[in-house]
Amino acid sequence: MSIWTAYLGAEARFADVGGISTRYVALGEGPVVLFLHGRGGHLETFVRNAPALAARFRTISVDLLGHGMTAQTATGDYSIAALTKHIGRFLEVLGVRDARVVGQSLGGWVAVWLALNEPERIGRLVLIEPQGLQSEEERLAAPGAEERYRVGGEAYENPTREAVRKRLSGLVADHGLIDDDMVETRWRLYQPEASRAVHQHVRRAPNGAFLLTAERLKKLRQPALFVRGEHGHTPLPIIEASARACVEAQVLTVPGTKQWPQYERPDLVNPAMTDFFLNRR
Amino acid sequence: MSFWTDALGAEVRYHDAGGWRTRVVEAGQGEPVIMMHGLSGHAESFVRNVVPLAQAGFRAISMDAIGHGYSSKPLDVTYHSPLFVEHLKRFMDAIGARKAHLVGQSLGGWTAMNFAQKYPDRVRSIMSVTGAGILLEDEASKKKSEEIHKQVQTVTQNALQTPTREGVRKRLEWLMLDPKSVTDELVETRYTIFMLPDSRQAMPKMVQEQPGEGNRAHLMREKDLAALSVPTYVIWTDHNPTMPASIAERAAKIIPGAKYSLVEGAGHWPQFEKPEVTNKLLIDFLKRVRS
Repeated sequence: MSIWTAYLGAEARFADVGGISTRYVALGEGPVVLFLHGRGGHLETFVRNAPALAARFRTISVDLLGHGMTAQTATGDYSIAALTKHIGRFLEVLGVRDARVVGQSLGGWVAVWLALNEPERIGRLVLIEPQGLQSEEERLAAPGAEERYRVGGEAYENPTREAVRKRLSGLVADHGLIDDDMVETRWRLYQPEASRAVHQHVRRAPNGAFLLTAERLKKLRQPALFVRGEHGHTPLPIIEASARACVEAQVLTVPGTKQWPQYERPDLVNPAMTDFFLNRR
Repeated sequence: MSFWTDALGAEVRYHDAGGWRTRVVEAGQGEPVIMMHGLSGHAESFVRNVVPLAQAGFRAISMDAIGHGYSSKPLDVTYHSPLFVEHLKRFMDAIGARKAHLVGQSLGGWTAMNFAQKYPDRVRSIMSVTGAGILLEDEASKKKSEEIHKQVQTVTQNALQTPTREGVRKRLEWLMLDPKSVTDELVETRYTIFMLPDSRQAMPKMVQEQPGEGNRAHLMREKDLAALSVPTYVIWTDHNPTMPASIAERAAKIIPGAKYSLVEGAGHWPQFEKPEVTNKLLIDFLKRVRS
């Protein structure tokens, strides 16, 4: 199975979102499920998920502002507000009035902001190892976090295939799972210096103002499913406290996985997402 | 190197070509270059060519022919050359292309030539890459043409009867000089397409009709080749499994002003087996025609 064969039958398009050329892949018919990847990521993050959910939903996977093959913004603003605004406008351009959202890491943070901003348009949320539950200082204080940051950053500074594979391998418990097609794709996407610069901007964005505090999560009307890797970076008590703050939320722990449970165990995560979106869980 | 990374930056999209859904892999801006695959093929045949042609300043489009890939596969039509010509015309109308450069591989080359006969004012140039549909008058050529028709029918039907990955692989290996050129991804793509319900319905009809007697009326005979009025490029290979290079070269001499090139180290798919060489030939020719 390659990325191309996984998406056979899909459309891969570029939409003009207020002057920002925005890449997306759409597959399937039915209610919309939108997929938002993490920092430094791109829509292929969900290659093992969107095609599976396409049996019941219209799946739309999109590259966030400045990420993947979506254009950079001249303003240099990659705050949560800017990323969220871009996705909101993207949905408008596509004429999507009602979307469920799957967000991984940074994409999960954006998904919550989107849901808070547009409660009438955004439905249920699947938040996979979402960012924004802790402040940067708190995150970096955790054992091993600095080292992970450093290794992950190598792929931006000197984007060799090896560095890219190392960074991707850090997302999964079983390093052999990252296939060559994914490494090659990310390696290509990281070659332009401008695209690597975006990741530094995103890292440095003053996002303290957008943290997903308990007060904010209380306002979230949409039911949420938190999906965490058994060996993921966000501590379980943090995720559990966040879930409790929500009006309606549940937590799924995916055994033997880290930051990319959706890639490592699609056999568990896909049925869970489908059931959740169909209100069966 | 994978189809996905080859096509990064290109779009995969669907056009409504006068009622026929048409899938394309498309990139770039400029004069349209429409690439057409062979019998039982699909747009991925040109996956290594779309982005390079786009980077050279053209709107490069590889399309699934009617009855193929993810395009419509109607059952109330006859899969003879005029149908592929009509599909191309409707497609060009749909994308607003008054004129286009046509790259046709195998069956696609036949379509391109018949299209240029019928709509010469809509063609900027033709590039026939191991293109089918040429019938020279001498006895040896005629005999070869008969043989090829039967051979194509046999290998294609074998691959279709009950599609298996192994059968699909064998059919693809027949296209290539080096069997290793047939990647797992190519096999999987074609197998997935052959297993689509509408493919299962339409393809037996198509492979029976396409090499049928009635379709031979549309072959390009010497007088037809001599009457072609658009810039033409015949690209062949040293190991083409259908028509040998000697006949192609002679055909190129009959077409007024036509250019001929031989790609070495390839079978029926030089654009896939030798993409760098073939892209350079195509781009050099396109740029000359454009200027």
